[in-house]
Amino acid sequence: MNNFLKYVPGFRSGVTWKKIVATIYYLFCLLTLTAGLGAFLFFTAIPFIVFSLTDLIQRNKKGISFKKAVIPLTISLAIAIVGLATFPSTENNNGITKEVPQIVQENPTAEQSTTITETEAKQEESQTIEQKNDAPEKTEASADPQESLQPVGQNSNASEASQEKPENNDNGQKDIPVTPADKELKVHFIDVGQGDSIFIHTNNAAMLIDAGSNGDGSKIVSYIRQQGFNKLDYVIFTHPHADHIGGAVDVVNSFEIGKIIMPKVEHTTQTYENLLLAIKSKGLKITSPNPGDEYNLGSAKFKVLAPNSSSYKDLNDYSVVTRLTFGETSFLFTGDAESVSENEILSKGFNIKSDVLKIGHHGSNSSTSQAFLDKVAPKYAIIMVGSNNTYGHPHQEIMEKLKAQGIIVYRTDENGTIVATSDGNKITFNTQAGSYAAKGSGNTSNSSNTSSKTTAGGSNKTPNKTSSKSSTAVVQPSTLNKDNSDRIVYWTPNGKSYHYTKNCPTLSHSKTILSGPLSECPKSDPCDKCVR
Amino acid sequence: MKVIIDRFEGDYAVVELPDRSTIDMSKKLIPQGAKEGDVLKIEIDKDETAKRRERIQKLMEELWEE
Repeated sequence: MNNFLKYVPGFRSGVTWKKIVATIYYLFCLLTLTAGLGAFLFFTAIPFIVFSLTDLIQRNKKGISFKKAVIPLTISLAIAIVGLATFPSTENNNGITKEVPQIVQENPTAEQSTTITETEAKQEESQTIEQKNDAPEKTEASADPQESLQPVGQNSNASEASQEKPENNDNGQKDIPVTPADKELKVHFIDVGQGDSIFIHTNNAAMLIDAGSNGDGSKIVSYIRQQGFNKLDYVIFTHPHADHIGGAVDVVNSFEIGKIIMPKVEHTTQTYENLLLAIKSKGLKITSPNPGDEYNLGSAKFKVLAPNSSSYKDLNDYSVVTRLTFGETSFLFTGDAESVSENEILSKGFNIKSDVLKIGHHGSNSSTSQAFLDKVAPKYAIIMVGSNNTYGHPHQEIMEKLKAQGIIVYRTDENGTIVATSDGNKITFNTQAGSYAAKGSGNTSNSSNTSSKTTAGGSNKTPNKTSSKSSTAVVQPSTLNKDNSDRIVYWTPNGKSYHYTKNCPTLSHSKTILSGPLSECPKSDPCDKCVR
Repeated sequence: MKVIIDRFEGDYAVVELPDRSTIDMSKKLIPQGAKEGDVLKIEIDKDETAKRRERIQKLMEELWEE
């Protein structure tokens, strides 16, 4: 025992006050055990380091061989390092933290080095000290602490913990494993008819891009809950159009939210106002999309690529465009960005090559320019579109481009909700591929203002909702008869035929000419003049 | 009634109604120069309606036999 005490700082000299001080300190060390083994090891090792260092210096001065002093120094240093390294994992065991949304510098999945040399160890120490000084960005969420029903790591203490957490080092070595590597990334393109809503998650981290049209909120909320999530680390509302933020209020009110990303652009609709009010009353703040910013989503990450200008003519071009990567796989989410924004992304030189492209603006010909499509070079294209939209989405020229390049298409009007699963190497889908059938040419026609979908105010008619609900994965007849069923045809309420052109001579006396895709036309007889 | 232009899609303006639902309105019904976010007032022009009634009634009185 005495032999052992000879090496313990505080007991070596046998001086009483030193013993007392030392005893108090070691008792304190024992107390730190409650914070985890790592803390205990670290604090215990400190006096050994200090005194073996002074011993070393003294021996050096006196010219005595200092080999004997080097050994305890090395051992105690090693113990301190091990203690430091086990800090976070012990925190995990206590359920304090696991995963914090934060901006990454690089290489979030870097492996933790297991063998630590002395020099690395010293670096690590000094870095830890430096990092304590510049506190990492604070998560702004004022989350409701009781809300969380999530598995470990989803609770709101995360933001607190992030304060103490060192950022990644430049040399790619990480002091702290942010999260165990996720096995899977799932991307759900939720069928909300004519509109976007994309739910993305790894094991524990989740994000939502857009929330469909007015009335889609409860569907989206229950869909996300069914996947087992009560917290969204990120919510992106790409731009303020009603087919992207219609259900946003329900989303904001239903989930704990880490960060909301939205372009700072004004819109006057009640839908937008109500969303802003919901965010305000929850005490959240909104983050502007900053091209180049990267965020961690579990062991996946995403980068903001657009908008790159501060003002545009069309709200669509304000769309937040993001590229998500998981292992070797990648997804590009474009919102409704049109060719104006696409060209800016191209000229910025971002890496946009992606396995999956969410086709911009529901397959409208205002987006997905050839140059952009060539650069993305996707294997798969997703089109989020309502089966009976009035706008002819997806437009023919887009479908032709996709077909010409052999890009496999999935579309919510034919496939319903589409789930893409990535294991980091390959991507699989929950459904068969869709067709290349277009709904319209996208050319602005001089369509009659008596068109079936046009309703002017003043009447007590229940308004048509623009978003349609094709919730099941029923394959449209378009796949069987793709040339015709999506073709826009014309008919009159009392006539028996349908027409390919509304200028058909047989219609010249008709006051009311209705139009729509052939699949929805109530008339079965093709006009002898213009169809046959 | 007031409606707000949410966006334009092809031949249509998608307008938000007071109940926050949206419907398509032919662009032909939208005043020229209207932009996203503009508020449109849809109302009955009572004077014009009365004038037209009067004119048509006059015309009808001339044409019917009794």
